Amino acid sequence: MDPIHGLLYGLSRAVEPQILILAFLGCFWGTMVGVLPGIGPVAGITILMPFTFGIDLTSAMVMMAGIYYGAMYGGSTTSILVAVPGETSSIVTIFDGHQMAKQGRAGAALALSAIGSFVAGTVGILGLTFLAPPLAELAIGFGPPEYFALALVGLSMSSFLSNASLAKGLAMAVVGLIIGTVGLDIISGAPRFTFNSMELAGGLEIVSILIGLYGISEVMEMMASKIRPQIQHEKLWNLHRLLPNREEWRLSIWPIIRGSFMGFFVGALPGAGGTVPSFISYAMEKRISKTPERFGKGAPEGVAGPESANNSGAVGAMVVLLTLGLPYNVVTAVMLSAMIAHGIFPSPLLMARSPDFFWTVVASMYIGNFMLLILNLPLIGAWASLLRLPYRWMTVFIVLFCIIGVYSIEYRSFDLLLMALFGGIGYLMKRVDLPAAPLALAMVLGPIMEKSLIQSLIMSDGSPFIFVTRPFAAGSMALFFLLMFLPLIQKKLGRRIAPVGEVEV
Amino acid sequence: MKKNQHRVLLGILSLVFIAAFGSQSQAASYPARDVTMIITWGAGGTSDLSCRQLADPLGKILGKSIIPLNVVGGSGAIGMNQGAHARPDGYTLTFCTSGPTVIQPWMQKVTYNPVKDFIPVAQVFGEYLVVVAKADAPYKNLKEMVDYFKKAGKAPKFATPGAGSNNHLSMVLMSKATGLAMTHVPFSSSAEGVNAVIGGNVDFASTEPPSAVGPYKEGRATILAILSAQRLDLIKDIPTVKEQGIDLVFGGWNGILAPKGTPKDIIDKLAEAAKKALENESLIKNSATVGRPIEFLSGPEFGERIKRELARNGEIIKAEGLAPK
Repeated sequence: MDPIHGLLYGLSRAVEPQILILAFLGCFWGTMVGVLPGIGPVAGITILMPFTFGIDLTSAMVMMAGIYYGAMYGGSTTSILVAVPGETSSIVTIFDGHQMAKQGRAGAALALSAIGSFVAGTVGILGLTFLAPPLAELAIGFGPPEYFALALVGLSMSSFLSNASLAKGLAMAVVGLIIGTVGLDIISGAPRFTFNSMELAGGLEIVSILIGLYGISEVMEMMASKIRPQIQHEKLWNLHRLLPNREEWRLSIWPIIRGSFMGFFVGALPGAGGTVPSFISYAMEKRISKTPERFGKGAPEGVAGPESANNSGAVGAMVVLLTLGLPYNVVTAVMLSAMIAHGIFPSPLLMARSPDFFWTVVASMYIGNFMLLILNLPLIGAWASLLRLPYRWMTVFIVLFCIIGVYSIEYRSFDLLLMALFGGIGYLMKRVDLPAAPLALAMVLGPIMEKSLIQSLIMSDGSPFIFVTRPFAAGSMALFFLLMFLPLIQKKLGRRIAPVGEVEV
Repeated sequence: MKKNQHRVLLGILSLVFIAAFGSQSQAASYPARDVTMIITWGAGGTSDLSCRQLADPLGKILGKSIIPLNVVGGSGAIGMNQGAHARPDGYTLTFCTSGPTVIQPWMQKVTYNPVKDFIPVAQVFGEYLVVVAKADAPYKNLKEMVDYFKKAGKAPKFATPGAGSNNHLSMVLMSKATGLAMTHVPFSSSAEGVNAVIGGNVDFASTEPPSAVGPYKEGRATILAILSAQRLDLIKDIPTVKEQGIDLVFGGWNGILAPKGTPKDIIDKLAEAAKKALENESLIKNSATVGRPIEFLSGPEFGERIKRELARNGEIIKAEGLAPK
């Protein structure tokens, strides 16, 4: 079945009442878990997992996909309104989205992220429709050297993200790398930083650290500061202010388009999902902006770009799942197990072998994307009203949802302690102006880097040339060195090749 | 005030009475409430799905629900610890896999004894291992693969889901049985290992049927051998290692453990129910599709297997120096 016929066939199936209803339920639930801080798509899907065993796989997959990209839509809401990320992929949205809200442009920020999400979602699904087969063929040869190079590039991006000095950013990245080593070493199984604790041997649950670092510390900051909360009620509820003004549109159109395309391709890379594309989009927009100093102070590009990128990134991750059967993040890992439980083994031949399944899921994503636009654009107020509670209640609810979210990952009270600890650390970091983003990114990418470095060296019998003899790895390594030495080269040339923005070098 | 105190006292007394009475009639009326089944791995994983497949018919036979509870961490050791030290009343059971039962006690300091702290109820499933190579590899079975690398004088690189996994230990024995040196490249999941094979990054992978069958059926990978004693229905054409003249049988399993001190009649009742649950039609069908063989062993037989494999793995791990210092 060629893409056009497949899509038409899929659409005919996707409008069947059961599939339509499940797609809507998925989108609705996804938006909700997206809006609520703490509860992410993983918890959202896992909670409904037992239910999916009772229905056919196509319907189950339609619903799970709806939750996944629905959460990408909803994730921005709390980032913008209360500076607490609904998901890790909406962390960067805080930087400018929350600043916009403080300036009374919360409605515009929410609308930009919803429209950006819709455009990106559409681009992503078109990509899934037409590019999935060739992409799968390309990525299948990727091995540890490519993964290492990609992780290295991802990590070096984090130094471009931090608004603090490069030294502070790098220092936090190193702390993140160290946190990432806690647990059993994958090669020898040797325990590192575990202090004979079985909990620590399993490694630190990254989601609980992130929720502590971003959620709890923010609540502490809110409670400690004399300034009352930054949700601008009157301004937010004013509907005509929901729409971005001409200037905001002008600034956002290209970031949305760039974010959509970049997000899709980066999202299809290992471990990226929606989170890494949103980070990269932010860094990219800041670097190419003529006025990078506006970033972090309410630049609409800093909302539109990342929020678009995380949506197409989520679809990109689905491409890898549906073609290679490789789960590149936790969400797609849960989907993979559901597929296997139903006896479908995803692989490059999935489209040929189960066209009904593949095309129905893809077609339902087009429909779901429209559902989400409607759920999010006119109804933004309704979703945000979840957050309209008085300030003192809001902090209680945020903490409550953080606790539920963290506990629901593994049902371990240890993760709650970890969240509390990193809440305190995050608060102190804010006080002394240390950036959290490089720490967070290094924590996620560090283990991937270490593992793939060791695997690569085992493969090459110890020779580091494996990173330059493989074309894709070599290209990525070149990009890494370019990123690292760009400031130095610029200095040597005595002029700036590109604006470095607020990154102090 | 005084009246209140009396009431409280009366309340406590009646609670004690109920508790005492309850425990006396426990065996006959078991289960009087829902039973928790600890899974030592995360939701959505292979053993989680197996446990949930079993929990449904098992609960129906017992007349109460079996509630699977994921207690994750320490390569399964945290869940095992909780299961070992649960109240021995039959209301907390452990769905165990071979890793934390017969491997981890050698790899890390664990706070449970897999033999002394548990009573084996039954083994329910087998977890077979297969060896997978790229479809266009110059060898089509294990024997040819071994000959190929011996002739070339090269050590093949193989992927596993991790150091000290069943997959890893089986390949250590394979290397011994065939006299072929092999280089271990640990990954963190079976799917990753298989992908490394398909992408040509390693020579072969030790994995489980669920992650191998898809690529095999689509002609991307070839399965060189299955390490079980007999062939698997799902891939009936794949010969066992033994059939290829290499003396090795290796595989994992899933079983049910109860904490030490659980009354014998409860154990018997559970074992009988488990045996019956494995005759459930939808469970049989699902097991056949995903390549999870149903392999019932009675409590004592299962206990013997645990002891035997614990000793065998201890030898391998010590001899090869696999345990971290």
